[in-house]
Amino acid sequence: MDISNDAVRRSLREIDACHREDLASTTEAIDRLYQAEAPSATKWDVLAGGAQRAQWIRVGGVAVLSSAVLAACSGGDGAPPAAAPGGATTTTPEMTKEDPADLRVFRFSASLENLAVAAYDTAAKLIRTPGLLALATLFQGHHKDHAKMFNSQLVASGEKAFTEPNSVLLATLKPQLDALATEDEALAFALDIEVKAASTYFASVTQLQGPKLGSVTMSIGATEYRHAALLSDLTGKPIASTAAGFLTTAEALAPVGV
Amino acid sequence: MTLDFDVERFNQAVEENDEQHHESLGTLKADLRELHAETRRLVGGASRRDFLIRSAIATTTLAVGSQLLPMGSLFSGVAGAQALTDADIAAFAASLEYTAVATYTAVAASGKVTTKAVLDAGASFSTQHQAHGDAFASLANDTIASGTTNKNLLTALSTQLSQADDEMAVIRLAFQVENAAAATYQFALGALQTPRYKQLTASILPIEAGHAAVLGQILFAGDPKKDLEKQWLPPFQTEAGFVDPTKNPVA
Repeated sequence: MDISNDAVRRSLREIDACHREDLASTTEAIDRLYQAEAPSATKWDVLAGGAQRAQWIRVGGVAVLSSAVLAACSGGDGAPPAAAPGGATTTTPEMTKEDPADLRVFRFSASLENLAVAAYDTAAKLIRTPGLLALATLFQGHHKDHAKMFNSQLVASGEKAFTEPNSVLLATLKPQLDALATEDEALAFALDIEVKAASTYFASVTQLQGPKLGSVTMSIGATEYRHAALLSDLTGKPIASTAAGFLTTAEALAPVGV
Repeated sequence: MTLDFDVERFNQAVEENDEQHHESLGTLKADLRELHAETRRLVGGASRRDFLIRSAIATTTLAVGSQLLPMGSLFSGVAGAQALTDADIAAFAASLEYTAVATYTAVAASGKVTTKAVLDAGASFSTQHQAHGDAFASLANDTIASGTTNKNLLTALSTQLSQADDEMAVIRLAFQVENAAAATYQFALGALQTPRYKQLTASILPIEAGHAAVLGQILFAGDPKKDLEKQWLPPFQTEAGFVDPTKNPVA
């Protein structure tokens, strides 16, 4: 295909404008990860990395969004147009296709996050120090966010959201939960849950089949380990399973109850 | 096919873009063909890793977060025509870890930190960074020697340390180092292909995030409402603030 220099320069100008707009939106998207109102699906896409990153490419001297270039060449909006009845043009929503084993991991992960939310409900009743209560509330909010993330992918795959705590794990932990009597005990219990959750996500990294799923799960695992590290520091209880400086699978939970 | 000539838009394009893009125009058609091919591959489900490698071959630029990342120049010793391997990423990660060790060593020697608990934490973190560096280096196919720091990064951090005028400023510097490491490994996890590289990175990423959480506790006095930088206790680990390999290549 021959393209005149005039057209090239015109296209470059349009492409550059697209680039600037999309660069801003990418930055905004990442910023929105820190905000509770960001849709879980948006968070997932950004954390998966590829959706934004892989579509950027340098053409000539300009960094552009690949879909913008396709649009410039095809006159579309970057999405492949699909012919609709009557000759109208539309786009077809794409159903996520996840591996069945990955979906099971998502279900278990959602159930684990719901369990953590429930655990913090119990723990919060025992925490009297305002600063610690604020932290516990924040951590619980993170777990709610994480549950939403996993459920968003379940729903996108045509599955039902898992909104209850993991029943098997809850039954196992109930005696410990019922025995909690002090703030220190509540924090120690929270520490244990956070370490187990982070370790569980670490264990899933090489089991997940989807190419981007390890990145997403560790974005959550790392957050939960932040919780754990802070709780460890506050309670003075070291995390034995990471004493060597590496997260391990020693505390990982088996995917039961889903 | 020759497209219509538009004088007005042409002039605008020349004014706004010509100087910036002139040198690269010669490759445009090839780049466009490459781009179409790559996009088809992406739509068809090709791996992102494959895309990254091929982009590196084409000496193209990808956007990571809000930063542009010419993958072809990730490593000073790697020509643009070569693929970015998992071993390359491991070498870069090792250099970051050894730089963190050097930074903590310099912090301890500076005398600017006087609180014993902070010094102890720094010593512990430094030991872990050394272990991380050695672990990454062992997967780097002998491309990086033990203790090899990232010179650009170390220079920048040394400057910041010299400018830190109190203990809290030093803690903030360490906090930034840990957060940057975590963000970089979050980025790396999306690029790595081989399970054992992913596994190692995933085992280290949370530890760095944990270091940041502990240091943030000091910086923000345990008050999550003081999470002004939104890095202390974010709901998700992201790549925001990652260390840009193009600006800090492995020496």
